[in-house]
Amino acid sequence: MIERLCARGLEPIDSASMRTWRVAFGVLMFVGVVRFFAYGWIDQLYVQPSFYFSYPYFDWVKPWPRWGMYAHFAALGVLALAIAAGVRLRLSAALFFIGFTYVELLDQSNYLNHYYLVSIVALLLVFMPIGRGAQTVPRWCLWALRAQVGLVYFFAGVAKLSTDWLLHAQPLRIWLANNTDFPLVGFLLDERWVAFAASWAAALFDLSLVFVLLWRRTRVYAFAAALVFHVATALLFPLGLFPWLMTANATLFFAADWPRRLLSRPRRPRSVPAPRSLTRIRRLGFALLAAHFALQILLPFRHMLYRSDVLWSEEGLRFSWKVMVVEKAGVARFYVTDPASGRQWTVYPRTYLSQRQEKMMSVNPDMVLKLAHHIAADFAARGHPGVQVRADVRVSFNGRRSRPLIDPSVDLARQRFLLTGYDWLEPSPRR
Amino acid sequence: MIVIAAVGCSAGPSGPDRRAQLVHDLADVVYLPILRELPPQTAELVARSEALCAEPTQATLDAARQAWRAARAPYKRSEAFRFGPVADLRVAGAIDFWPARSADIEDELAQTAPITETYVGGLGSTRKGLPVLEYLLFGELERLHDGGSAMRACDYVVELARDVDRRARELVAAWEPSGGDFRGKLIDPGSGGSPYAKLSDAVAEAANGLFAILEELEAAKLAKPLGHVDGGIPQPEAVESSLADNGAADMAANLAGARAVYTTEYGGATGMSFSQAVADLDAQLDADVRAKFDTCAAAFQAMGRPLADAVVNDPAGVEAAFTCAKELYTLFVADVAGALGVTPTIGDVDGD
Repeated sequence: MIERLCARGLEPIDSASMRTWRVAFGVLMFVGVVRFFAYGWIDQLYVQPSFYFSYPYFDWVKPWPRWGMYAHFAALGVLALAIAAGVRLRLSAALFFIGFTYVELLDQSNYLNHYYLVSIVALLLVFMPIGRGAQTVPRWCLWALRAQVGLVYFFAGVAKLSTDWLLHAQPLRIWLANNTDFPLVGFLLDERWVAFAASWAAALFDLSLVFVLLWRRTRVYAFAAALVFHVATALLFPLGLFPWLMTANATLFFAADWPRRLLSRPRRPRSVPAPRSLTRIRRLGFALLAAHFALQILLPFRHMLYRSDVLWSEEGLRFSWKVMVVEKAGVARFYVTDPASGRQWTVYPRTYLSQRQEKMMSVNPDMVLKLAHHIAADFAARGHPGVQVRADVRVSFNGRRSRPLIDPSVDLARQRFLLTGYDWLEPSPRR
Repeated sequence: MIVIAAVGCSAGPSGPDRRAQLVHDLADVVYLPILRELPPQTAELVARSEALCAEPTQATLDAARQAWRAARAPYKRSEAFRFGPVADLRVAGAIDFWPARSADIEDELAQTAPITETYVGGLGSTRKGLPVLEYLLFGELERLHDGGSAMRACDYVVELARDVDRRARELVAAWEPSGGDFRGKLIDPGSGGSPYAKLSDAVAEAANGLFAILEELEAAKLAKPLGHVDGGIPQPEAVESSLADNGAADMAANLAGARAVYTTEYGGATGMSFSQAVADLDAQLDADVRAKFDTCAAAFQAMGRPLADAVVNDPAGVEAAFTCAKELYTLFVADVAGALGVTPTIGDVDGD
């Protein structure tokens, strides 16, 4: 069966769909890079901060100096255009993947689900022969991208199967009410029933979209629904390129030759080579692909290994496509005690962080811990070694009154980052 | 109560969008009325400064000091909405750069260049504004009429007051519909010239102005002088307006401005408010916020005086004020922001 599946994966199919998608992806990435320049985000996110929330085990990833960051983003822009044009695609995609992922690894507070998707897709592109002039591609390429996009939609839908989303219409009630100036229907957006209807519709949309896109009879309607959905979210919420990226991704579910049919251009038979044999290297490739998707399926469920509520503690939240399912606001203050002298300090996060970093840190235990360690190190450097660092962090969650996120009696300077979770988190207000 | 329509500006939006009404009412009930209180007070400060230098007596000095305090109050109330023209025209630095740097002021007094409108207009923030006037007016009277530098000190006082007055008028003019009409830009987001693309941007601006002054009250105006950020060593020099012992009044004005922004209640007028929006979602939260404003106002009033002494010798009252300010800020940034979905400022970076 696996042999047959692999052999089928190697069958050539028309590359028109994937090449069209590749152009869209490259252009969107270029637009994304231009936005970083235009909005001053390079300075704001990667130059001005004096402290970065690097990811665990990636502390060695540091930002370039200012000119280097600008050059880095300029290079990403060139690589995005190269991807769009299909020029040296594998090399371009590999460099784009490395360059883009490097940027994402610099600071956890800049994590976005669609940036993670971009990194994955760029990595998959490295192995896909859909550069300029490729008339056919192995079938597995299209199916791999469809699977990746499908997992995003599906797990985004699974994340919405919660009491907050379905029974309280949160956080959509909060967010929609902030869009009452939306043209034509804005006056409805602070209506309770609209929030409920939108919540249920969005959950249904995310859970079912892949299946109705795969079924030829419903495909056109499903794509139209996806278009409406993504345009609406783009207009309502500050999602950047995410809606447009997912709209482009939805075209992958059409037949492989849809651009040719659209333009009424007949397929060129001379470009279809014979099926290729299943060599050892290709077997290894399929094994790695299978491992990748196994990981992609398991990661969104890893929060079940933690005792905490994932949306409250954010343990297992990232890399799991829990898209737009939580509204949190928090405030954090740190209290430093020098046991040797008995002196105490109140440390406001703004001392070390930008406003954006502070907002993101104030609701995330990992980042609170990381800042606590940084504060301890900073005090040690200023002649106060061995200080205790405690945090008073209050967080409101999907419209509820704020509660402590962290046990304020715990000395965070003595706590380590743990993949297995923390026992110093306060319980979720949902439980 | 005077309703919003009586305030004198154009009528509010006819649609049902309460957020549009909120921004409109904030502009007409709170922002503009507070700002309009400023020029009469700064004009009085100019007049009293001129009178002081014409006849430097204790009586004219006391009158100038009183005018300085009176000018400070509306400006401090306006610090609950430090966005728009106050930032664009760099008014905050010109009127109230704090803390004053005595070395810079003494250096300026030692200069010989004639002090004129142009000269003061070109000075850096550390050499002009209300804190520099405080340094000169709340020092020794002799400085203004004895010795070789008295004439320069007096000229400096008068031109500083005139510069503050000019800046205050520029600020108000930039908001007025008959001037720069920032009011119009605020209440009509998306229109040409408005810095706000969407109504939610304007609402977020208003909310963030409120959050910012509450954060400043807690961290800069109370925690810092109490020594909480300095290992428990009080920093009396960090008390605002300590020479005039006007720090408590400054904070009370800040708090009054913040309350006016939250409730859209000012000078007997009222309008659609953050308070109503919060109450519709969580009446208890709104009641808690209002009660906390009352508690903090009383706590600020009860702080020992002079405040610079109290932070060292009688800190209990200041600590109570600090605790209250901390709780009030938490209520806003964690609870009110969470209930309304008004994100504390993070710029225009994408989400999710």
